[in-house]
Order: sequence, then structure tokens, then C-alpha cells
Amino acid sequence: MVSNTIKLSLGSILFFLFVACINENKINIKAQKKNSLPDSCRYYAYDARQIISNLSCYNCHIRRGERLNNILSFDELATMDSSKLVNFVFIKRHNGNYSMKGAFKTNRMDTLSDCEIKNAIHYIKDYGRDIPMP
Amino acid sequence: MMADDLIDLFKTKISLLQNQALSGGIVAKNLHISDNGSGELTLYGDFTITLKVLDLTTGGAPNLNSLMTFTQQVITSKLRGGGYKSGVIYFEYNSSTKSFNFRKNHTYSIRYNFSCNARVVQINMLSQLKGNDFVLAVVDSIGYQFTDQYGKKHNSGGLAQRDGGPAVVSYNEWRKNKYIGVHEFFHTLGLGDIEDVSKKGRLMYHLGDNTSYNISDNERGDMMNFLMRNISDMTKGTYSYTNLNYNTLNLLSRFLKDTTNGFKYNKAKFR
Ligand SMILES: [Zn+2]
Repeated sequence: MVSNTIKLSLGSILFFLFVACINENKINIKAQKKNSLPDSCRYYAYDARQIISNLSCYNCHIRRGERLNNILSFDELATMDSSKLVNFVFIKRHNGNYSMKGAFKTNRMDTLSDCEIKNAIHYIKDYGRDIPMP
Repeated sequence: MMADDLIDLFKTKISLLQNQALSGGIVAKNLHISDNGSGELTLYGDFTITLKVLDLTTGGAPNLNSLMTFTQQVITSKLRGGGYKSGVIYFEYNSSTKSFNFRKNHTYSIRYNFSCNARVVQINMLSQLKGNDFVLAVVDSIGYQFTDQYGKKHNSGGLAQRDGGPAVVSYNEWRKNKYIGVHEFFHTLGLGDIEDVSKKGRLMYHLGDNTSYNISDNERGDMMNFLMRNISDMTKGTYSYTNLNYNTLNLLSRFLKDTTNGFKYNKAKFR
């Protein structure tokens, strides 16, 4: 209960800060080319999860029902439609910070192949589907 | 026999009493961060992870205690050794004020130096499940089948909803493979299944012909990240992840009733 109260008040303070988990640097990157995907692009949940894990998405997009600094939680991302996710999450929203020239070169988001992006989106969408895991 | 039963009863009572002090599946104490000043944060904390086991079998589960003990030992040992993530973009940490600056980002390497202690305890009543407790329900059998990436069909010894969700094991399958309970619980802690046949030595490999049951450093790092899902909570010192909106009992109820999962269990025990 105590921690909930702290969380709530922390949440309302943070609500007034609009800066998300992104840097102020604004570097425009070209929109992702929409190549047709090779047949070899198969979806493996484990590999897709690895992409999400390597990009550290979960640190800012907290997994379920809990926002950090008013950043959409991961399950909220799952409710967005795929094309919106590609544009919003992978291109616009992170302001190019994940690009090769961006502030966070270590996590080059725009160097992911089209197949990897497709699979990452698939993984995010699946998150909202609660697929049972054997 | 009578004495053994009594001892077991006392054991359950004692663990229940201990459990009452805890709320939620994750309780962390002595949380603190050390900043090496050149981009590496080390996170420290003592975690107690409680997994509540609910026996829903029709005929009872005589080996349950030893399976639970085994599961508790394996969870504790697999979580030992910490984790490491590099290139983590987060908010800037100020070590003198011990707080994060939510207006400035910083890329860190994060070293998880958590000491984790698992407690696997049996519960006898549904009312003992609170909020987002972790639960492992033991059932008679599971009808759910899945097709692997090679197109082959498999039966499921267990089934779980990842990232905090309920886990279910078939008692007979669990007796045959003692690791199933841990495997399912690690789905609860966020890990995915492995089907790559070159990784048969891994605990999360789930096609039945495991050669070993290892956890990779990466997987351990991911579980640590799950345990401390909101790094900014590190500055609170103690932490108990209680999400009242995420109700395990409701989730378990829905999971058990979902006919596509094919659970067979004693419904009279789930009321
Ligand atoms: Zn599995």
C-alpha cells in the first residue's frame, strides 16, 4: 500500500515532465524502405525477444500497466496497430536517437533489417495476446 | 506416518505465517546503486521471490513436497550470479542525490548484483492468493498441443502466461521431468521458449529431449530486469512489487477455464 502511494504521487509529479526516454538531439533519419521481405524471413519468438532485449525496450516501456515518466508501457505499445508501430516507435518517436548518427549508437535501431523490424513488431503485438507458453 | 503428516502440516503453517509478512511475489530489500563514474551502474539488492503452489489434482500429489523443494533449489541456484546488460539507455543517475534525472538520458552498462532467494510454498486455499502473487497450479493433465518451428507436434507438460502470469504443470509430467516447474516459472519471470536443436542443453529448450538445464547469462540478465522492472524504484531502498490491478487469482481462473488449454483438474478444489 505504501509503495503504491509513493508510486502514485511519483507518477503525478512525473506526469508534468513531458520528456520521454529520449534525448533532446533531433536527427532526422530517412523513412524505412519498404522492401518486400525475403521468404527466409521467419518469425522465431525467441530471436524476436532477443531484439527487444538488446534494444532495452523494457527499461523505459515497463512491461505491464505501469508507466515510467509517462512513457507508454509495453502492453500499451501492443495495442497500437503494426504500421503505426513501425512509424511511431521505430522511426519518429525515438527522434533518430537509435540511428547510426544518433545519440545512442550502441542500439542502432535503424540498422535492424526489415525482417528484424517485422519480427520485433510481431513480438510486440503478441505481447497483448497472452499466448500460453508450453 | 502420523508424525510426518503433522510435521508437514506445521511446515505449511510456518511458511504461511512467514508468507503473510510478504506481499506480492517479489520483495526486495537493501536496494542501492553504485555508479563507477564511467558509465557503469551496479544494482544491489536482496530479493525474496515467493511462488505459491496450488494442488488441484484429483487424486492428490504425494511427491509434491519433494518436487517443490527441488524447484525452490533450482530457482535459487539459477538466479545466482547476477546479470549484465550493456548499451542500456536510461535516465541519468546522480549518485550524490541518489536519484534519476528524468530530463536527461544516459547510456549505461548495468550490472545486476542481486542476491535472490526463492521460496516455493504450498497454499491450501484460494484466499491465500493475493494481488499479483506468483502461482504454480498442479493439475491432472494438460491437453494443449503445440507445433514447433520444424512442424512437429508436442504435448505440453506445463503451460504458463509470461511476465507475471500464472503457471500450470501436469503432476504426472512434473514427476517425470522435475525441471518443468522451474521452466514454467521462468516463463512467469519473462523468459521465452527455445526450439533451436543446437541448444538442447538449455532449461528453456522445450522439445523434450534436453541434454541439460542451463540458463544463459543473457537469460539471467533478462530475469533480473524483470525482477527490477522499473530501475528508478531502486532508489526507494525497499520494494515490493504489488500490482493490485494484475490479479493472479482472476488470471488463473481464466487460464484454467480456457478450454483451448485442455486442463483436467479437480474443479471442487478451485472455488
Ligand atoms: Zn516453455
